[in-house]
Amino acid sequence: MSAAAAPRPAAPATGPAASGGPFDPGRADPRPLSDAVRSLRAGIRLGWAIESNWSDPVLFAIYSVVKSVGAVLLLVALVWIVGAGGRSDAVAYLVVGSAAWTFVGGGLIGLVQTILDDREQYRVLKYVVVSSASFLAYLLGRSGAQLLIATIGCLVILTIGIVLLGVPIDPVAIDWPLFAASMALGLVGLMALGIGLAGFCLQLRQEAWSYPEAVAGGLYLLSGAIFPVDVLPEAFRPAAFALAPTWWLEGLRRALLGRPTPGVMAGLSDTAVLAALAVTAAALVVLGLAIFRVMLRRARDRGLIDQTTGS
Amino acid sequence: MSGIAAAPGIPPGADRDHSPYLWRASADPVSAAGWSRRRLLGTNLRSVLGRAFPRIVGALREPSWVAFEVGMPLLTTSAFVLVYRALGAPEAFVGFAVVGGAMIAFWMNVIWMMAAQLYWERSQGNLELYFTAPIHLMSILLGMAIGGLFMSSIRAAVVVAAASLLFGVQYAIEDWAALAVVFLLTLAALYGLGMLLASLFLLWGREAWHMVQLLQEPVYFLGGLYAPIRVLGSFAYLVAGVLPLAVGLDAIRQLAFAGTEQLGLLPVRVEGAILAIMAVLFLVLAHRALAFVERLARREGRLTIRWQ
Amino acid sequence: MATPTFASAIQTQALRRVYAIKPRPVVALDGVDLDVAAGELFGLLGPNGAGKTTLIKILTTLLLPTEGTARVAGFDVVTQTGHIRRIMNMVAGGEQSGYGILTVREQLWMFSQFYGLGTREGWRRVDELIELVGIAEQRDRRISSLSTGQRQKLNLARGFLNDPWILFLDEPTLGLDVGAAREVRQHMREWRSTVPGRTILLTTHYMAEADELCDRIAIVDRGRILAIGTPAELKRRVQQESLFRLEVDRLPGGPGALAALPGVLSAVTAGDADTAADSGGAASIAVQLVLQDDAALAAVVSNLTAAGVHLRGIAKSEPTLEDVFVELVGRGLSEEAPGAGDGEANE
Repeated sequence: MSAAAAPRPAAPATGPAASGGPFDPGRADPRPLSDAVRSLRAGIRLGWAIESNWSDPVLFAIYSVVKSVGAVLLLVALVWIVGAGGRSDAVAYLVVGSAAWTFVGGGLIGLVQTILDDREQYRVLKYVVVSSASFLAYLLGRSGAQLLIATIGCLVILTIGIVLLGVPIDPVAIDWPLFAASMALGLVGLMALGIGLAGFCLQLRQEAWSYPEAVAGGLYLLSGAIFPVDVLPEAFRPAAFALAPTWWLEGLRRALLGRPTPGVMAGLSDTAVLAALAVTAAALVVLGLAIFRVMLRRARDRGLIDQTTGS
Repeated sequence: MSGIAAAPGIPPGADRDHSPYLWRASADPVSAAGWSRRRLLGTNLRSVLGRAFPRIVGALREPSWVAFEVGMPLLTTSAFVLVYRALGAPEAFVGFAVVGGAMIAFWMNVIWMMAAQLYWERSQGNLELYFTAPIHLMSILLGMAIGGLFMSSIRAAVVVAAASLLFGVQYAIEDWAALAVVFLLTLAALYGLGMLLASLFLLWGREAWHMVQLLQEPVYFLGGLYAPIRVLGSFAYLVAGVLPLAVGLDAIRQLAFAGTEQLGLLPVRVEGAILAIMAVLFLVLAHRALAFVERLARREGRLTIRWQ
Repeated sequence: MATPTFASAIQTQALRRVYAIKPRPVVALDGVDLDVAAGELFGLLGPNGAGKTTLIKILTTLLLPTEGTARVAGFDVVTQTGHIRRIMNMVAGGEQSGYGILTVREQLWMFSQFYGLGTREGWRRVDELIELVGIAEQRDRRISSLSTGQRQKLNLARGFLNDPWILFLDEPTLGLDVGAAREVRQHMREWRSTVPGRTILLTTHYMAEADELCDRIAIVDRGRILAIGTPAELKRRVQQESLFRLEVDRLPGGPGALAALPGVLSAVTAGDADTAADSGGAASIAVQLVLQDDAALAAVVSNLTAAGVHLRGIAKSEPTLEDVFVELVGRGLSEEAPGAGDGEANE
């Protein structure tokens, strides 16, 4: 859609029209960068307000910390219960995986729930879509707040792991370039997956809320979050290797723990892991954006954007 | 127009059968308001059926939930089984994880389809209609529970069957009757707890929702969903006294895997008695708590607040 | 059957409701005294934030008063909630409650169970009400697919389900088109007239609706009742006299001749801009009359007729309820007071 197609009168530089008098057709010109930045900022602020306003700040801080820690302590407790408490590698594996998994909750699940919340509960989705905001940037901004909370959770888990559980992470010895690259690519992949899933869930009625949990559950099982991919039945391993989160977690573990996961992954270099992550994340970006665009168009076509399902 | 019209309930000459604006005549509002205990009980029982109705209809009308209600718990259960296998755990733990994964279905029903449901009902505008109807809120909650039981039962059954097949779990049930009784007592105690928690959700709204999310993992752990609670040591006895899930699951495991009594916390008979006491106690407490919370909510105007 | 023994359908004394919200408490009701007789269609008229919905919530037992008392059919709203809930029902405008997955028929049947109707009895009653309110064609459609008007008819049917003695209607025609609103008002009239003693408490900020329907109206603003009376009584507060506009073919003696007649307080001809022409193109003279009361008009008409004047038109000019409100409060019905809220703590 090109605003330059039709001739229009030039807006006067001075006078009442310039200060907002008669309609200035220039207002309809697309401003993709500024729309995106504005939408992203608004989404982040709104997301933070929503995530944090249900309680006072102290309780909210306690909640954020305890929620992050609960999951990993459960897993570590299982290690001790089973009698594998002496296996520090198992504990380290679980701690890093659980720490990283907070981003799945915030990024993937949070992003999809944002779009459903805005449609079903707050009923503002249609207003956002018809505004001049960049809808995609807005969604990413909304999940930005959740990623921020996830970052806090991640840091708390790692700290507890190092201080209390003896996880051998030495801040001096961390491979920061590998860590940064893995995190960046991994988050891009997660958000892309979330965007595609959000578009898909917009088409659904009753079960929309269950899809993000189901997808996250599948990733939890397949991507080596809490046990090495080698433990999976052989038939599932190709699917595991096709997922960006699998390579993301492996990259993080290598960066933080200084060693590859024993088994199949051990034979791969760091470069190979990053390359696999880059390829799978890129595939997710392409797929996620394509699905989102198609699904958004479909939703407009079928009047699903302003339809509440009561679910 | 002031004062009272002279004629009683039905105007002279009016044919009750032909006025769609009148169904069941009564002389005056005072007599219409005075219901017998039998009528009160009957109405509350009908309300249970009425509230279960949308759940059951919804489940039958849109069966897509089956994939999620079966698939998702299977994923979670499988994850824990594979963790145990990765850690080299005894094979009995695999069976425990499968049974625990199945019981999660009922726990989730209690928390999200019962206790938390009132929070969602308020935001949908249904809660005020329930409160202005001449029924007790416990009837509505029980209806929700029964309606959700249909889906939860299917979920649990499929998880047990599918996970047992996938991971080769061997059961050893010697007393089916005892297993059935313990299972029913566990449900009764769980749903009693759910009614009690419903009052908290009504009171705290989003804070309660976040608290439940927060406590999800600890409850899974303390409830023995993935490992027998005996591992908690003496703390387990305290947990057993509070969490019906812990007691019930412990008893169910002892009965489902005969010969693993040494991993149980208390004898099955004792745990059955605890569950029975819990069921009664939670129901009584729920009745009082709901009355208290209703009064508080009416005082503070919380019955119709959205986004609280 | 015994004669009804209740004198007041709704009675409040010094009713006060304060919401303790930040930054400062909101006084939603401030000493409301109300007495609605059995069989009345009583209206609460006021702008948004006046306290109408708060009052309804107290009377329907959803909210406790902070001070004062309220009774419905003689039952106390605080201590006898069960009794009240058995004999009343409520319907709000714009209500979107219900379960989208259920059909119209199923939704109503579910509610019939909450009021103790038998299983089959419930279905029969539901089918009858569906026909009555005019949504028979939508009976098997999911309620999530209903239009606004259809949804409100469904809500109204739910309100009739339990044969309440007192029906609370909180802006029942909100958002409805003219036809649908008219149907709702007709149902209200017919429902009430079916059984003597049935009472409706209606809140609205549509003055025409209140004027048309209500036996008596209370004008409410900022938690207080400013005036109570029949629509005619309220309008007479603003204007005691009767105003008429006559159109005649001629005026012998000018308007002064009319002004001299008994009961006529003033008579003036309308300005040139107001001079009307009839369909034949002949000029008319418009005369604005202010009379002591309607009865004085007869003398004017007979005087004109006796003088051979052709009377081409008579129109009465009445103040509206908004005029009454402005007179009482100093602003329009659609203008909210600064800092007003209807007392609900919405985020």
